Amino acid sequence: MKLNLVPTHVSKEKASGGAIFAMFLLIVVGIIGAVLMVVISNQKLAASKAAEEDMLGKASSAKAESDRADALMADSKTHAVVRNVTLAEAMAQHSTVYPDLYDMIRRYVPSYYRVTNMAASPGAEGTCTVTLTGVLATYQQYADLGLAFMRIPGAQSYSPSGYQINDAYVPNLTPDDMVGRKIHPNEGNIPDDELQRLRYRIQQGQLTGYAGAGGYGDNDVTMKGPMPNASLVTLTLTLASDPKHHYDLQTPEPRQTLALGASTAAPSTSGGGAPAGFGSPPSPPPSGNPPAGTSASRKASKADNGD
Amino acid sequence: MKLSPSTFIIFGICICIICLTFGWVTWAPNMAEKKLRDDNFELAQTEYGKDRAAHNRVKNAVKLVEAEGVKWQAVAAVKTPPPDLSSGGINVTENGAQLIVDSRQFRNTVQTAVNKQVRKGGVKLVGDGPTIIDPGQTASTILADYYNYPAIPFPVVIFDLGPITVQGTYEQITSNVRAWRWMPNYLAVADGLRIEGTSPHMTGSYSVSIVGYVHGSKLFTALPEVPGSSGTGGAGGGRGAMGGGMPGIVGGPNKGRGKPSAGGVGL
Repeated sequence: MKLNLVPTHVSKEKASGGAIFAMFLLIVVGIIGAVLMVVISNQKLAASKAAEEDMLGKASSAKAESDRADALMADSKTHAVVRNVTLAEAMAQHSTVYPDLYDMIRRYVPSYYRVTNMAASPGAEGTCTVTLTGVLATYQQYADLGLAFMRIPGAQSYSPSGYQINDAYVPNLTPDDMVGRKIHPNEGNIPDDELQRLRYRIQQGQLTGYAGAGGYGDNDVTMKGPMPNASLVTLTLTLASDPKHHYDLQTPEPRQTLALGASTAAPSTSGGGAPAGFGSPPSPPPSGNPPAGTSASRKASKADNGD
Repeated sequence: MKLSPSTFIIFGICICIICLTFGWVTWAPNMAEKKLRDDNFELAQTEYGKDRAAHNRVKNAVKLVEAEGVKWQAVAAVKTPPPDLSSGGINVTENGAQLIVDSRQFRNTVQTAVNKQVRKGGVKLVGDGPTIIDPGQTASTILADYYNYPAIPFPVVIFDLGPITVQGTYEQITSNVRAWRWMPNYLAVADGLRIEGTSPHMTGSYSVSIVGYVHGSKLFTALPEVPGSSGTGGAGGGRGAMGGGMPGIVGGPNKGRGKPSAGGVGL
């Protein structure tokens, strides 16, 4: 058996040398790590700051440019010029709106309808109401009238009124009239007996001269009314704008528009409904199918309307 | 006393952790700030990405303004009364006393132009024709009453002529109405045309409003005249600037002498 006579601290000193080295190594690693973290983070932050400042400068430049555009458009002088231009254009265009509308409507006036009055008024936004008054001779024409006008592009509805039915009709039989010959309203039955019928016919004949109905034959009467047995019929048409046809009749109001001041460029309009924007394109030339009928009938229609 | 090796190791680890903690305390806020700055950078970059669009907006805005200016110049060239009395226009830079005298002559010029316009198309007038209102004789209020200044930021005459009734064929009447569009020196609008009658004696009724943009960059202040007096009023009052005058025509800097006019707001 061997005895270990070496003191116990001798073996520990040898082991402590490595531990001390490891300790210093750990300390150095820690210090280096800390320094690197500080240095690297500072560098990254500085780079980020520089890039941000650079980009902020560029962004503010872009913003300033954008603001310049806004300022240019928001400038009261710009508003005033735009307002004045739109007002001028709207005023110029509006003077021809009614004649153009009437020109278009005349193309759809049937030859049997002699128009004596034509008027239009603005309705809701993009719509207008046209009122025509004219002379019709038969009930059939009265029925056909609406169909003729509903061919107008954008026609929404029509409302005829005023026809006085005067067409001959078959009456019920009476002891004196067992045939039922056609008579006009407010006329008595035509007797079967020849002598009574002669007397009836004589009583029917009341005129001894020119009837002068409707102002015909009188130069002082400029508007000729309905002929005998004809009716004055009023037709109200509602027209709505579509992409191809514009029926805006709203009127520019210069005083209100100019008084709006420099803060807004929106001119006001009159007429019913919401105001239409100024500067809108003028109504395009009317299109659509011309009314049916012969050229002669169209000429007659033109003549009825003042050609 | 002798320390064991593990003690040294533990001591080293503690010192290392302390150093790294110190580093982390600096690293973490720096990185957080960097992230914020990076986010800000991206936002700024997004804004900067709109730079071209902003330039285009400016270009478009300038083009639009120039186009509107050109349009207005075209309108002003033919649709505004001349800037001086001798040419049939009006010079509103005169003092009020002179202005009421000149305005009567200007009124006659406008009336002549309207009369000429009413005859267009070969129609026959039914009833009395439209009348241009008299400018009055009050120097202190003529700008406000006749030239609508400063209610409107620049002097402008507006005449609502009311209904006009003419007689003729359909073509004559529609030509007459259309002709208002081409009225020289003034903007006119004809509205509410109504045609009735039997050709060739048709009757057309409509209403007309006329606008005349008046040239002028400077205006006199109101004269010290008692409203309602019929005289021409006293002279006086400094010349003030209108603050730009009519846009697109005579706009300019304030060149007035003395007190600016009450309505020197201009456009």
